[in-house]
Amino acid sequence: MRARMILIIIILPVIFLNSCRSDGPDGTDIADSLWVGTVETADGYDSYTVVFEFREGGDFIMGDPDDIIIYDEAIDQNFTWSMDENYITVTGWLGMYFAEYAYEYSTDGNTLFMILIRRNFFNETYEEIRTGDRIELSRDEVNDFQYYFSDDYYSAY
Amino acid sequence: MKRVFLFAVAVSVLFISGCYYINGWFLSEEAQSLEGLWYSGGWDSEDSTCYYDFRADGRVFVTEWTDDVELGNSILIPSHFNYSVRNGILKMVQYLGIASFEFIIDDDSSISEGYCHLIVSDYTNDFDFYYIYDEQDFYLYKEMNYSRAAEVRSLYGGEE
Repeated sequence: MRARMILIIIILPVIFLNSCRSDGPDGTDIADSLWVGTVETADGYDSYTVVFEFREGGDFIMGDPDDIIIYDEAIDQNFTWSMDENYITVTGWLGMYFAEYAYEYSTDGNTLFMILIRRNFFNETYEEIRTGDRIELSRDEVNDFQYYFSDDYYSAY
Repeated sequence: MKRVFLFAVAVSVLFISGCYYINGWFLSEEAQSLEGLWYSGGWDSEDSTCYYDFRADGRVFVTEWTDDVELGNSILIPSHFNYSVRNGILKMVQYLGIASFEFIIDDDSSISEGYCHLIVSDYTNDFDFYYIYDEQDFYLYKEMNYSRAAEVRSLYGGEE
Protein backbone atom coordinates (compact mmCIF):
# COMPACT_ATOMS: atom_id res chain seq x y z
CA MET A 1 0.00 0.00 0.00
CA ARG A 2 2.76 2.37 0.98
CA ALA A 3 4.79 1.49 -2.14
CA ARG A 4 1.75 2.25 -4.30
CA MET A 5 1.34 5.61 -2.61
CA ILE A 6 5.00 6.44 -3.21
CA LEU A 7 4.65 5.53 -6.88
CA ILE A 8 1.60 7.77 -7.20
CA ILE A 9 3.42 10.60 -5.43
CA ILE A 10 6.26 10.31 -7.94
CA ILE A 11 4.15 9.85 -11.06
CA LEU A 12 1.57 12.57 -10.44
CA PRO A 13 4.04 15.48 -10.32
CA VAL A 14 5.74 14.16 -13.47
CA ILE A 15 2.42 14.11 -15.30
CA PHE A 16 1.51 17.51 -13.87
CA LEU A 17 4.82 19.10 -14.82
CA ASN A 18 4.62 17.68 -18.30
CA SER A 19 1.13 19.04 -18.78
CA CYS A 20 2.22 22.59 -17.95
CA ARG A 21 2.45 24.32 -21.27
CA SER A 22 1.91 27.69 -22.88
CA ASP A 23 0.65 28.72 -26.31
CA GLY A 24 3.21 31.50 -26.31
CA PRO A 25 3.50 35.08 -25.12
CA ASP A 26 1.24 37.90 -26.26
CA GLY A 27 1.78 38.69 -29.89
CA THR A 28 2.41 35.12 -31.00
CA ASP A 29 -0.21 32.85 -32.48
CA ILE A 30 1.09 29.69 -34.07
CA ALA A 31 -1.66 27.33 -32.90
CA ASP A 32 -4.09 25.64 -35.25
CA SER A 33 -1.89 26.39 -38.18
CA LEU A 34 0.03 24.41 -40.70
CA TRP A 35 3.60 25.55 -41.22
CA VAL A 36 5.60 24.48 -44.23
CA GLY A 37 9.22 25.21 -45.00
CA THR A 38 12.75 23.91 -45.01
CA VAL A 39 15.37 22.58 -42.65
CA GLU A 40 18.82 23.82 -43.51
CA THR A 41 21.48 21.69 -41.86
CA ALA A 42 24.10 23.39 -39.69
CA ASP A 43 26.84 22.37 -42.09
CA GLY A 44 25.03 24.35 -44.80
CA TYR A 45 25.13 21.51 -47.31
CA ASP A 46 21.57 20.19 -47.26
CA SER A 47 18.04 21.47 -47.24
CA TYR A 48 14.86 19.47 -46.73
CA THR A 49 11.13 20.16 -46.81
CA VAL A 50 9.24 19.81 -43.53
CA VAL A 51 5.64 20.24 -42.46
CA PHE A 52 4.72 21.16 -38.87
CA GLU A 53 1.24 21.35 -37.42
CA PHE A 54 0.83 23.04 -34.05
CA ARG A 55 -2.65 22.18 -32.83
CA GLU A 56 -4.79 24.01 -30.32
CA GLY A 57 -4.46 22.34 -26.94
CA GLY A 58 -0.88 21.24 -27.44
CA ASP A 59 -0.86 18.38 -29.92
CA PHE A 60 1.91 18.52 -32.48
CA ILE A 61 2.73 16.50 -35.57
CA MET A 62 5.55 16.86 -38.01
CA GLY A 63 6.63 15.20 -41.21
CA ASP A 64 8.81 15.30 -44.28
CA PRO A 65 7.08 14.56 -47.59
CA ASP A 66 10.35 13.12 -48.91
CA ASP A 67 10.87 10.79 -45.93
CA ILE A 68 14.48 11.92 -45.53
CA ILE A 69 15.03 14.11 -42.48
CA ILE A 70 11.86 12.98 -40.70
CA TYR A 71 10.77 9.43 -41.37
CA ASP A 72 7.18 8.69 -42.34
CA GLU A 73 6.57 6.80 -39.11
CA ALA A 74 6.60 10.16 -37.32
CA ILE A 75 3.33 11.21 -38.93
CA ASP A 76 1.38 8.80 -36.74
CA GLN A 77 3.04 9.92 -33.52
CA ASN A 78 1.62 12.59 -31.28
CA PHE A 79 3.75 15.04 -29.37
CA THR A 80 3.12 18.13 -27.32
CA TRP A 81 4.35 21.59 -28.16
CA SER A 82 4.82 24.54 -25.87
CA MET A 83 6.09 28.03 -26.48
CA ASP A 84 7.57 30.59 -24.10
CA GLU A 85 9.27 33.92 -24.72
CA ASN A 86 12.44 32.41 -26.12
CA TYR A 87 11.91 28.77 -26.94
CA ILE A 88 9.52 26.33 -28.55
CA THR A 89 9.70 22.87 -27.01
CA VAL A 90 8.38 19.61 -28.35
CA THR A 91 7.98 16.72 -25.93
CA GLY A 92 6.59 13.23 -25.93
CA TRP A 93 6.29 10.24 -23.68
CA LEU A 94 6.56 12.25 -20.46
CA GLY A 95 9.67 14.05 -21.58
CA MET A 96 11.62 11.07 -22.88
CA TYR A 97 11.44 12.82 -26.22
CA PHE A 98 12.51 16.41 -25.93
CA ALA A 99 13.56 19.07 -28.42
CA GLU A 100 14.06 22.77 -27.77
CA TYR A 101 14.18 25.41 -30.47
CA ALA A 102 15.05 29.09 -30.20
CA TYR A 103 12.60 30.94 -32.40
CA GLU A 104 11.79 34.19 -34.12
CA TYR A 105 8.23 34.99 -35.04
CA SER A 106 7.81 37.57 -37.76
CA THR A 107 5.77 40.65 -37.01
CA ASP A 108 3.22 39.80 -39.71
CA GLY A 109 2.72 36.40 -38.06
CA ASN A 110 3.34 34.45 -41.25
CA THR A 111 6.92 33.32 -40.78
CA LEU A 112 8.47 31.24 -38.05
CA PHE A 113 12.21 30.75 -37.83
CA MET A 114 13.58 28.09 -35.49
CA ILE A 115 17.03 26.82 -34.53
CA LEU A 116 17.39 23.51 -32.69
CA ILE A 117 19.37 24.21 -29.54
CA ARG A 118 19.18 20.88 -27.75
CA ARG A 119 17.42 17.61 -27.98
CA ASN A 120 17.05 14.27 -26.29
CA PHE A 121 16.06 11.87 -28.97
CA PHE A 122 14.84 8.49 -27.98
CA ASN A 123 12.71 8.72 -31.09
CA GLU A 124 14.72 7.77 -34.11
CA THR A 125 12.12 9.03 -36.56
CA TYR A 126 13.25 12.60 -35.88
CA GLU A 127 16.90 12.08 -35.15
CA GLU A 128 18.19 13.49 -38.42
CA ILE A 129 17.33 17.01 -37.25
CA ARG A 130 20.46 18.02 -35.37
CA THR A 131 21.37 20.87 -33.07
CA GLY A 132 22.25 23.99 -35.04
CA ASP A 133 19.90 23.12 -37.89
CA ARG A 134 17.79 26.08 -39.03
CA ILE A 135 14.12 25.69 -39.84
CA GLU A 136 12.32 28.43 -41.74
CA LEU A 137 8.55 27.98 -41.96
CA SER A 138 5.69 29.85 -43.59
CA ARG A 139 2.05 29.59 -42.63
CA ASP A 140 0.03 27.50 -45.07
CA GLU A 141 -3.66 28.41 -44.91
CA VAL A 142 -4.64 26.50 -48.05
CA ASN A 143 -3.65 22.90 -47.50
CA ASP A 144 -3.97 20.49 -44.61
CA PHE A 145 -1.23 18.27 -43.18
CA GLN A 146 -2.36 15.17 -45.07
CA TYR A 147 -2.09 16.96 -48.41
CA TYR A 148 1.72 16.89 -48.19
CA PHE A 149 1.66 13.12 -47.90
CA SER A 150 -0.98 12.48 -50.53
CA ASP A 151 -0.80 11.53 -54.20
CA ASP A 152 -2.04 15.04 -55.07
CA TYR A 153 1.11 16.55 -53.59
CA TYR A 154 3.48 14.03 -55.15
CA SER A 155 1.91 14.39 -58.59
CA ALA A 156 2.17 18.20 -58.40
CA TYR A 157 5.71 17.88 -57.04
CA MET B 1 15.12 3.05 3.75
CA LYS B 2 12.87 3.81 0.81
CA ARG B 3 11.88 7.06 2.42
CA VAL B 4 15.51 8.08 2.77
CA PHE B 5 16.15 7.23 -0.87
CA LEU B 6 13.15 9.23 -2.07
CA PHE B 7 14.11 12.13 0.13
CA ALA B 8 17.66 12.06 -1.25
CA VAL B 9 16.35 12.09 -4.83
CA ALA B 10 13.98 14.96 -4.10
CA VAL B 11 16.68 17.00 -2.36
CA SER B 12 19.12 16.38 -5.23
CA VAL B 13 16.59 17.50 -7.82
CA LEU B 14 15.77 20.63 -5.83
CA PHE B 15 19.45 21.33 -5.23
CA ILE B 16 20.41 21.04 -8.90
CA SER B 17 17.42 23.17 -9.97
CA GLY B 18 18.31 25.68 -7.28
CA CYS B 19 21.91 25.85 -8.46
CA TYR B 20 20.81 26.89 -11.93
CA TYR B 21 18.45 29.48 -10.51
CA ILE B 22 20.94 30.90 -8.05
CA ASN B 23 23.79 30.78 -10.56
CA GLY B 24 22.03 33.49 -12.56
CA TRP B 25 22.26 35.88 -9.59
CA PHE B 26 26.04 35.77 -9.63
CA LEU B 27 26.56 36.42 -13.31
CA SER B 28 28.73 39.47 -13.78
CA GLU B 29 27.44 42.36 -15.88
CA GLU B 30 29.91 41.34 -18.57
CA ALA B 31 28.42 37.86 -18.61
CA GLN B 32 24.86 39.18 -18.62
CA SER B 33 25.66 41.23 -21.68
CA LEU B 34 26.21 38.01 -23.61
CA GLU B 35 22.68 36.72 -22.96
CA GLY B 36 21.04 35.72 -26.20
CA LEU B 37 21.70 33.54 -29.19
CA TRP B 38 24.98 34.06 -31.08
CA TYR B 39 26.52 32.28 -34.01
CA SER B 40 29.99 31.80 -35.45
CA GLY B 41 31.70 29.57 -37.95
CA GLY B 42 31.93 25.93 -36.93
CA TRP B 43 34.47 24.57 -34.47
CA ASP B 44 35.84 22.20 -37.06
CA SER B 45 34.77 23.79 -40.30
CA GLU B 46 34.11 27.38 -41.34
CA ASP B 47 31.40 26.10 -43.69
CA SER B 48 29.17 25.08 -40.82
CA THR B 49 27.45 27.32 -38.29
CA CYS B 50 27.80 27.00 -34.54
CA TYR B 51 25.24 28.65 -32.22
CA TYR B 52 25.90 29.75 -28.66
CA ASP B 53 22.80 30.00 -26.50
CA PHE B 54 23.85 32.14 -23.52
CA ARG B 55 21.08 31.93 -20.91
CA ALA B 56 20.27 34.13 -17.95
CA ASP B 57 20.70 31.16 -15.60
CA GLY B 58 24.41 30.91 -16.38
CA ARG B 59 24.22 28.03 -18.84
CA VAL B 60 25.42 28.15 -22.41
CA PHE B 61 24.48 25.56 -25.00
CA VAL B 62 26.94 25.32 -27.87
CA THR B 63 25.22 23.51 -30.71
CA GLU B 64 28.29 21.83 -32.17
CA TRP B 65 29.24 20.61 -28.73
CA THR B 66 25.70 19.47 -28.02
CA ASP B 67 25.50 17.63 -31.31
CA ASP B 68 28.84 15.98 -30.68
CA VAL B 69 27.86 14.94 -27.16
CA GLU B 70 24.57 13.49 -28.37
CA LEU B 71 26.47 11.18 -30.63
CA GLY B 72 28.33 9.95 -27.59
CA ASN B 73 27.08 9.65 -24.07
CA SER B 74 25.01 12.64 -23.07
CA ILE B 75 24.23 11.15 -19.68
CA LEU B 76 27.81 11.27 -18.45
CA ILE B 77 28.73 14.44 -20.30
CA PRO B 78 26.38 17.43 -19.91
CA SER B 79 25.35 19.05 -23.15
CA HIS B 80 25.88 22.55 -21.75
CA PHE B 81 28.53 24.58 -19.98
CA ASN B 82 28.26 27.02 -17.10
CA TYR B 83 29.75 30.29 -18.24
CA SER B 84 31.24 33.30 -16.56
CA VAL B 85 33.05 36.42 -17.69
CA ARG B 86 35.66 38.21 -15.57
CA ASN B 87 38.12 40.81 -16.77
CA GLY B 88 37.48 40.07 -20.41
CA ILE B 89 37.92 36.30 -20.06
CA LEU B 90 35.01 34.04 -20.96
CA LYS B 91 35.11 30.69 -19.20
CA MET B 92 32.87 27.80 -20.14
CA VAL B 93 33.08 24.92 -17.67
CA GLN B 94 31.25 21.65 -17.32
CA TYR B 95 30.50 19.87 -14.07
CA LEU B 96 33.69 18.93 -12.25
CA GLY B 97 35.73 20.35 -15.10
CA ILE B 98 35.13 17.37 -17.38
CA ALA B 99 35.66 19.85 -20.18
CA SER B 100 36.35 23.55 -20.09
CA PHE B 101 37.20 26.29 -22.50
CA GLU B 102 38.65 29.71 -21.87
CA PHE B 103 38.43 32.54 -24.36
CA ILE B 104 39.85 36.04 -24.36
CA ILE B 105 37.22 38.55 -25.47
CA ASP B 106 39.24 40.70 -27.83
CA ASP B 107 39.17 44.48 -27.49
CA ASP B 108 37.69 44.91 -30.95
CA SER B 109 34.47 43.24 -29.75
CA SER B 110 31.33 45.30 -29.51
CA ILE B 111 28.90 43.14 -27.61
CA SER B 112 26.16 45.79 -27.48
CA GLU B 113 26.29 45.94 -31.26
CA GLY B 114 26.17 42.16 -31.59
CA TYR B 115 29.78 41.38 -32.39
CA CYS B 116 32.18 39.41 -30.22
CA HIS B 117 35.67 38.26 -31.11
CA LEU B 118 36.82 35.29 -29.03
CA ILE B 119 40.36 33.95 -28.93
CA VAL B 120 40.98 30.48 -27.50
CA SER B 121 43.38 30.79 -24.57
CA ASP B 122 42.96 27.47 -22.81
CA TYR B 123 41.01 24.23 -22.99
CA THR B 124 41.13 21.02 -21.04
CA ASN B 125 39.54 18.65 -23.46
CA ASP B 126 38.62 19.05 -27.09
CA PHE B 127 36.84 15.69 -27.50
CA ASP B 128 36.12 15.35 -31.21
CA PHE B 129 37.04 18.91 -32.12
CA TYR B 130 40.37 18.30 -33.73
CA TYR B 131 40.91 21.80 -35.00
CA ILE B 132 40.62 23.75 -31.76
CA TYR B 133 43.99 25.20 -30.88
CA ASP B 134 45.46 28.02 -28.79
CA GLU B 135 44.88 31.51 -30.17
CA GLN B 136 42.23 30.26 -32.58
CA ASP B 137 39.69 32.98 -33.40
CA PHE B 138 35.92 32.73 -33.30
CA TYR B 139 33.86 35.66 -34.58
CA LEU B 140 30.44 35.67 -32.95
CA TYR B 141 27.43 37.61 -34.21
CA LYS B 142 24.13 38.07 -32.43
CA GLU B 143 21.28 36.06 -33.91
CA MET B 144 18.51 36.66 -31.36
CA ASN B 145 18.19 39.01 -28.42
CA TYR B 146 15.88 37.02 -26.13
CA SER B 147 13.95 40.12 -25.28
CA ARG B 148 11.15 39.69 -22.80
CA ALA B 149 8.68 41.24 -25.22
CA ALA B 150 7.85 39.07 -28.18
CA GLU B 151 6.74 42.01 -30.27
CA VAL B 152 10.21 43.51 -30.45
CA ARG B 153 11.73 40.31 -31.70
CA SER B 154 11.69 40.32 -35.44
CA LEU B 155 14.43 38.68 -37.41
CA TYR B 156 13.09 40.16 -40.58
CA GLY B 157 13.48 43.81 -39.71
CA GLY B 158 9.81 44.56 -39.31
CA GLU B 159 8.33 47.35 -37.21
CA GLU B 160 9.40 47.16 -33.60
